[in-house]
Amino acid sequence: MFQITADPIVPVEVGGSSAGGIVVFEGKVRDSNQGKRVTLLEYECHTPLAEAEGGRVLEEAVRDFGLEGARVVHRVGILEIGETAVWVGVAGRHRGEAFRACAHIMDQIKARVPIWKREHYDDGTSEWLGCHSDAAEPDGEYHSRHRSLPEIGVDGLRRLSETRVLVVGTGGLGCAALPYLAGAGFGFIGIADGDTVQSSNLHRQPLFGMEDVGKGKATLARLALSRLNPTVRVTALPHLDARNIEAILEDFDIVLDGSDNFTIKFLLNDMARKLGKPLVTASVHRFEGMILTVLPDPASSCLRCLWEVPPVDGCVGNCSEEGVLGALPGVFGALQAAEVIQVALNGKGALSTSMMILDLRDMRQRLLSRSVSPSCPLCSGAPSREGVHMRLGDALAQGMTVLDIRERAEREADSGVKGSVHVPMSDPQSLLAEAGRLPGPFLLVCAHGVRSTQAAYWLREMGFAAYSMPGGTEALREQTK
Amino acid sequence: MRRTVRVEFCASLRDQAGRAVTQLETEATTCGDLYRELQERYAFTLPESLVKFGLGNEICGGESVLEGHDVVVLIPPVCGG
Repeated sequence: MFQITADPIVPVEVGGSSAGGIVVFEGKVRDSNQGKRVTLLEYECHTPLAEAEGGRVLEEAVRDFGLEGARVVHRVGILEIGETAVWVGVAGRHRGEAFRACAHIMDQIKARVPIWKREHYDDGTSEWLGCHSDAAEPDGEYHSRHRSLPEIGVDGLRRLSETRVLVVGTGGLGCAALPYLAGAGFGFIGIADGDTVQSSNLHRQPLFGMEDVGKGKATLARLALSRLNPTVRVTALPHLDARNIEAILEDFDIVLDGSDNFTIKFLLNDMARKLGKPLVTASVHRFEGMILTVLPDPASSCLRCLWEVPPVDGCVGNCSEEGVLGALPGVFGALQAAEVIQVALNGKGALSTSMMILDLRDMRQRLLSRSVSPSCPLCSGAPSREGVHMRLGDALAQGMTVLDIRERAEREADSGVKGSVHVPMSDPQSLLAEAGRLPGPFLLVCAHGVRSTQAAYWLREMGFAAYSMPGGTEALREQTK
Repeated sequence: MRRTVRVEFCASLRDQAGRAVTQLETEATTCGDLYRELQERYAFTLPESLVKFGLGNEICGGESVLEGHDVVVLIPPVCGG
């Protein structure tokens, strides 16, 4: 018997006179987790579901280990440090199977029973942690149609249940994708959107109704999904921006971009690339849309391989300005959900090296292959141009070699930086040879800092660590006047 | 060398061109040349750097040569969600 209780756990009787070994395990609330001080733990579950799945775990263990009996009591609600969160009692004819079965039951509970744990920390923050990692189901039939697919099956359902998906935007794309993600049993779904529902949204955003106008979309979407699949964990997140995007994306395995502006699309592209997260992005315009997948894989190009510099928002219009067929984002959001599921199942998307363009006017579909652009700042492996400027004092403090790249006449007129090595930029072969001979990194100096910046970029391309002194020797002379 | 190409417009370029397809005779050798020519005709507002081209089964940039292709798809960025 698997029992959920909100009261302190009282051990129960297990096994009868035929039991030769009773093994009891007690899971306690510990005061720390992953380096954080834990002050309280909170457990939450849907009791009928948890007890039904827990009951199945116990039935299987009794059968598989030939036990005389097995019982579990699991606590929910708020628990303090030292309290018992779970009690497992196993009775076997002999001690061997009782020990093994007890460990097995505990593992199965953590993997299968839909109970969630929220840790509260001493810094005032808290976090929900999934206790189960297998496909929890509202009933045994919920996932049957996916289970029957050879491409998904039991293993695939488990993989989906272990995958965390972030959906950015609950516009037409997000509204179409989300129900299929929740129905597929993804372990955790984040919905990032700070907008409220407007009546002009409803023709393409069927997660909402007229009575929702003015209410927050992310929270409404979360409620709609929990009706669709009560076992799925969904969290409502604020609008993404440059400050919160990295922290939010780090928490997810796959990103579905349903945003409606280039700023967010390129922020997502860049951060997904940086963190190595797959990104399934789509955009729609009137009757047409495009969809592509960016995988953390050298063969999969990114948005900047297509558009190195992000287009300015407004340059091609958006749904509110240009109008959009209501069914169009429905089609593309569903395609995105299908692609996210495939990425979760096997790490490969159907569109990781191509882009699909579909026009609903004539139902014409174009599948065009994409390749990595040699000038893409993210994918080409081109050296960074960031942080090229370095002040003389900082460079000397780091023991850099100073290269004076001015021409001979300039150096004769002004000796420049004391101890610098003179290699004029007009002689790039010598510059390269000196950079190879002398210890790096290098600080490059010219008269005003323009040529030295160019030279630093060039040396970086040649594989050297190089910086440029801003303002050059002219600025130095001003300071020493 | 003059060649005849069929140009297919997507999304905002289709809106601005007022048509989905056009057939034209051109001396353009690259996709970029072709776009500039069409930009004059249809007053496209997008800079060439933001337009991608579908040649055969591939997406490419303005530097790609037209030779060997008689259909070019003009693909602007799209952002609606």
